[in-house]
Parts: sequence; structure tokens; C-alpha cells
Amino acid sequence: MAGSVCRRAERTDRVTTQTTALPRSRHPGSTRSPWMPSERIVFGILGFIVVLGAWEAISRLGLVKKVLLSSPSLILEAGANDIASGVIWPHLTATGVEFALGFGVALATGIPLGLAIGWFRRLRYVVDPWLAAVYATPTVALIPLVILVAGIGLTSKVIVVWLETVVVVAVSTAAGVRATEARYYDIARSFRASKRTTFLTVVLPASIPFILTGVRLGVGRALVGVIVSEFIASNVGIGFYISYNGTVFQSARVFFGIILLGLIGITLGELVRRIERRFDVWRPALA
Amino acid sequence: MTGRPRLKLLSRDRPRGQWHPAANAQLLYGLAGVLGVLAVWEVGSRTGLVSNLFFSRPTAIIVAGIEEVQLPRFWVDFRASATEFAVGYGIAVLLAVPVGLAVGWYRRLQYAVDPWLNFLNALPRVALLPILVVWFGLGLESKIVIVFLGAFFSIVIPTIQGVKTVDRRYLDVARSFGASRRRLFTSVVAPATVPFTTTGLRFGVARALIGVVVGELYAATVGLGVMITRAGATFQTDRMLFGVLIFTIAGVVAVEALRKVERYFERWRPAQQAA
Repeated sequence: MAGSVCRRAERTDRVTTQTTALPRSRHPGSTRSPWMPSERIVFGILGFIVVLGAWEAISRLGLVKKVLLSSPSLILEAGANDIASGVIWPHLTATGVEFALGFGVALATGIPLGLAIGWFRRLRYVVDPWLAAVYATPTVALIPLVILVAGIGLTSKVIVVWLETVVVVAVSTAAGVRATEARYYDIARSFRASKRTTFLTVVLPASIPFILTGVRLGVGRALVGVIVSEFIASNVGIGFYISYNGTVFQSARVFFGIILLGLIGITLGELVRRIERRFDVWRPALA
Repeated sequence: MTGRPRLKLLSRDRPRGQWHPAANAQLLYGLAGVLGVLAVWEVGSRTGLVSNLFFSRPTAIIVAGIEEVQLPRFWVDFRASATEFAVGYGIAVLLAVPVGLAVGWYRRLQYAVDPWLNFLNALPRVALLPILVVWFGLGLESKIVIVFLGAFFSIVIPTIQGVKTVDRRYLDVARSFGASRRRLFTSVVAPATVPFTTTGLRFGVARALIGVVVGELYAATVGLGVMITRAGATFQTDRMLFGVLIFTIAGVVAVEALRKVERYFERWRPAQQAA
């Protein structure tokens, strides 16, 4: 009897600790194999080589016109040229400034707005329909209007980035305020904390993980905003660089711009994710 | 559930009358918010405080909308946009679900495509528009591709996630009953992935709409985005905002519909309920 219970305990223990993802279980020895960590890398590199190789081959063999398709080697060459000649820097700086200003303003307005919406119930009722509407609108549709009002310079890009970002940030922040755990409020009340103290020492810190989620979502949207507004009307910026080279059939440069953008996207995303992870301990366990 | 309402109840005992104001408060305040902004906008525009040229006014937008829908050209634009959306999104769904399941199921395949998926997911896909226009021209095709790309990654990534996070116990149960790998996939893994896929479908709709708008604003000859651009270029702000309004309505309807679908399948979602 005791033996069987013990065996059962062992079994459940084994099952519960072995919570690895499904595919691994098909290769029982895999966790111990020294090949395991590198298999991911091997196949990752293989994936890169196959795609890039096929691309290069198709382009070299002339199956598709080189002007249209470009090829990895041509992109590398174009990229090296534009970096060496310094052509790319003004575009990068312009996009960076537009992004930073718009995003900064969005944080400076979105976070207080979100805190207020989360904190004041009636305010939330009032602005909720508008937030929902703007949230569901592809904000990029407003770009022609923004250009009409603010011209094709820096201002219009900053406004577009702001528009793209502010709602996500505000909505996440408000969700954070509302998700503050009830017992924190109760504890604060038990210690006769004023509303102000409760807000500053309980609600604000508790909202930070949610604010960061908003920031992460906002980064993606802000990038879209900056690029699209540069596509539509501008004379400098990565979006302009991509779009201009598209119109003059410089496909290699178009791809170089796209790769730069992808790298920027990955870097920013990773940055926010790092910060998020730091604050993850504060995140309440949501059911 | 949350802290706020509880605090309210503690701090202030509301009289329980026949008509409870709190029950309708949200609706009332919401209505007040909507009507208030519209009224300020309208009055501001009429008195000249808000530039009529740049921001139009609610009544003018309605009038412009009524005029627009009687034009045959409007319906041509509408049909073009709807086609781009439907075809692009449809292909994305048809491809993303099987691809997501396959990538989630075959570990080595996942290793091979992971770097590409990560890169393309971090990249604002609209950036590919110039090269797509070079490849596919100004017609519907380039827009369909950009819509497809927008939606595809939003669906494929949660689907992969879904396959990878199938509750371990379900797999054990299926194996205990001697299920073949095929059975394991079709009757355990695939259904367990559905809630994740539906979330992806919802995100995908928003991305697809952005694709339609940007594609048409950037380079097209027909579509609601073209209508917006045309109205903007001729300073017909009312028409322009009517065009934006259509996209807003489309967004709200599509997202709400998919949220319903999502909520229906939410019951299947594994880990969350167990935790």
C-alpha cells in the first residue's frame, strides 16, 4: 500500500516537473544531449542560408528581373555604400527625432490621461466611447488631415506618432489603475492613507507594468505612424528613403531601408521587454 | 473585482432606491461625453473657434456622407477597399492557421523559421509597400499583399504559441489512451489552439485595416483611401472625415464581432483557468 502511494507520488512528481513544451517530449534524451542548445542555432542558420541562397540564386539566374528582386549581395553592397558615403545618416536622424518627440509627448500626455481615467470613474464613462472609437480606427487614415493642418515637416510626423501612441498608452495605464488589487486599497485605508497618498504610493506603482505594456504596443504603432507619414509626404527620413528608392527602382536600397527598420523595431521591442521584465514582479497575478 | 468599486461601497453607502443611478451612470456619462464633444465641435466650428476648413463639423460630415453614398464612384471605392480587405485577410487566415500549426508542431521547422518570423514581426510591415508596388503595380494586388502580410503574422504567432502551450495533462491523457501522433494533433492540439488563433484573428483584423488604408493612401487609383486623399487634396475635410468614419465603423464592427467569437472559444483556453 505504502509502496504504491509512494510510486504514485513519484509519478505525479515526474509529470508535474516535466512541463516542457510538446515537441521536446518526442526526443526523450534531448535535454541531456550536448547537441540540444546548438540545434536551434543550426536550424536557424540553415533557415537563413536557404532563404538568402534561394534569393541570390533566383536573382543571379535571372529568373526574376534583378531590378525588381534585388539580391542579398546587392543589398549588402548598397547598404555598405550608403553607410560609407553617409547618405543614410540624415534619414536615420530625422526619423529618430520624429519618433522620439512624438513618443515623448505621447507618454507625457497618455500616462496622466490614463491615470485620470482609471482613477475618476465618471471621467472614464465620459471618454470611454471616444477612446474605443479612436482605438478601433486605423489612425493612419488621419494622416492626410494631419498633413493638411500641420504641413509636411517635422510637426505633422510628431502629431501622427502621438496620435498612434497616446490612446494605447492611456488605455493600458487606465487598465493598470483599475487592476490595482483590492487588498492594497484596504491596507492603505486601514492605515488612514489619504486619497492622495493612496494614489501616489499604491496606485501609481501598481500601474507601472501596465504602462509598460502600453509603451510596448505603442512602439510598434509609433513606428508604423512615422514610416507611413514619411511615405505620404516628406523629403527626409527612413520612410522617405525607402519610398524614394522604390520609385526610382533601386530595390536594393529599398531592402536596405527595410532591414534597418526591422533592426530598429527589434531593438526597441527588446529594450521595452527588458524594462518590462524588471517590473514583472509588480504585476498582479491575473486569473 | 477591482479595488475602486469596493472602496466606493465602503466610503459611501448608496441608498438603494427603485432607480439606481449607478446602473445607468455609465450609459448616461458616455452619452454626455459623445454629445458634449460633438456639440462643442459643432458650435466651435459655427462660431469660428474651430477651423471649419481643417476640422469641418459633425453636421457637415453627415451631409457630405449622405451626398457621398449617392455617388456611384463612392461604391466603386468602397467595393475596391472591401475586396482588398476580404481577399487579403481571407488568404492570411487560410495560410496562417496551417502554417502556425505546422511551425508549432515541428520543432526543427520552428527553429528554421523563427529568425524570419521575429524579424518580420518586429518590422512595420507597411514598410514593404514601396517594393510591393514595384512588384505588383498600383492595382488591387499590391494592396491585397500588404493586407495579407499585416494579418498573417498577427495570426501565425499566437497560433504557434497555442500549439506550444497545450496543457501537458491533456497530452499525457491522450498518450495514456494510446493516441497516435495524428490523433494527438487532431483531437488535442488543434482544438486547444483555437482560442489563441481567435485572438490572432482579432489582432489581424486591425492590422489588415491598416494595410488597406496605408496601401491606398500610398499608391492606388481606387479605394476609400484614395477618396480620403482626394478629398484632402481639395480641402473637402467633411468628405475626408466621412471616409475616416467608415474605417472607424469597419474597425469597431470587425473587432467586436471577433471578440464575440473569441469569448465563445475562451472557454477552451487551457492554462488561464487552471492557474
